[in-house]
Amino acid sequence: MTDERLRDEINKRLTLNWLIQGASQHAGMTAHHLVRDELNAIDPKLLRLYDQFALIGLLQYWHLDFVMLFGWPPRFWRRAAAQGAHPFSAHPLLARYGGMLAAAGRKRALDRCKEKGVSRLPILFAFQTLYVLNRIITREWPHRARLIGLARELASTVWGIPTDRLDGKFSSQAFLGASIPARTLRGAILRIGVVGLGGVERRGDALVVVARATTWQVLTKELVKGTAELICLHGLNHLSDDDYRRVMDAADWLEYEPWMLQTGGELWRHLLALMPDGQPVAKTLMYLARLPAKSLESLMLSVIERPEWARELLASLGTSGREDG
Amino acid sequence: MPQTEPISPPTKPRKEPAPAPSPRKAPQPKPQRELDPFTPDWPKTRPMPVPKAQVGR
Repeated sequence: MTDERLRDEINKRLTLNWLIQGASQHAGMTAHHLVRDELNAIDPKLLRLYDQFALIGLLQYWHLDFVMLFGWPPRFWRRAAAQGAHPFSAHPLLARYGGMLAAAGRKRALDRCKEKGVSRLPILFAFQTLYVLNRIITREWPHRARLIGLARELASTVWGIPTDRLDGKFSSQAFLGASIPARTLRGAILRIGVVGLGGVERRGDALVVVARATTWQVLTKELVKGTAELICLHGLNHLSDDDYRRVMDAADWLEYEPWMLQTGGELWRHLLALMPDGQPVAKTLMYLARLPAKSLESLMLSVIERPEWARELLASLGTSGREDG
Repeated sequence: MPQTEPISPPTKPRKEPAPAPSPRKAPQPKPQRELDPFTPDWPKTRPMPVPKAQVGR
């Protein structure tokens, strides 16, 4: 594979990672409302706590502890847009639109803070984060078995995947980061703060989505994320083993994931609004994953810049066969 | 009138005309396997991507 082709494949994987994390972030913001009645039956306080924690989970990227470790998000995205040594500067979409999507996601979250009772003041925000998290863990504890079942049912509803392909469990934070390699000092610190993970495992002939998390809301996000990863394997299976390894070495970094989460939810919102009627979201994502690298880049550019054109392109996926690249 | 030898029968039995070919079936398109989003073709020996994490909160 030429260097140029390899760069295209790395960019394609970064785009798919962006969508995977975006689908997960969007689910974290909204999916608990799909099972509102079931959650209210378990504990009527949980729904509001999940609303609050969803906002905290996004807004944390602009608060002190994250900024100390990773820097101020607007500056990060400005540097990405400028040419130079930046992990996303060679990715035309992340470099150009990351800052705009991050700001839009943040504004949407800030606008909901008052309604949901989340503080915007930094010190209060830090205390509220711990308070809300502890209340969630305490209230979930007696209902964990039921909540695991509910998380699997919810992920199945979101994607249409059978529940027997979903393996979700609660796990202590202490055990979660160990399975994820960190490549930098920042990554090693970040690994300590992992509260959930989702991926795919082969079990016999079947590929199974596996998720582990400290709370129900994160567990649901991780099942959604792991299923998106499973679907996006359609976009990696044409690579040779050697090219696959090179692409993953370049694109799949723990250190990139906060940035994908910070911006991906907003990107996923744009995409969801343009999805063809009557076609399962899982199929559309599969067709996107199977597009040649440059075609995926063009389509996602249209999703951001020319939504009506993107709507037509998305509707044509799977009918022209051109996604088989 | 000179007598002519009777025409000897051909040593090989004449081939019967081949039966008319049965109407040719139109070529059937190869049935295309419906792609299943949850069942990608994945080489058995290839490792899976590392799980993706939720960091922070």
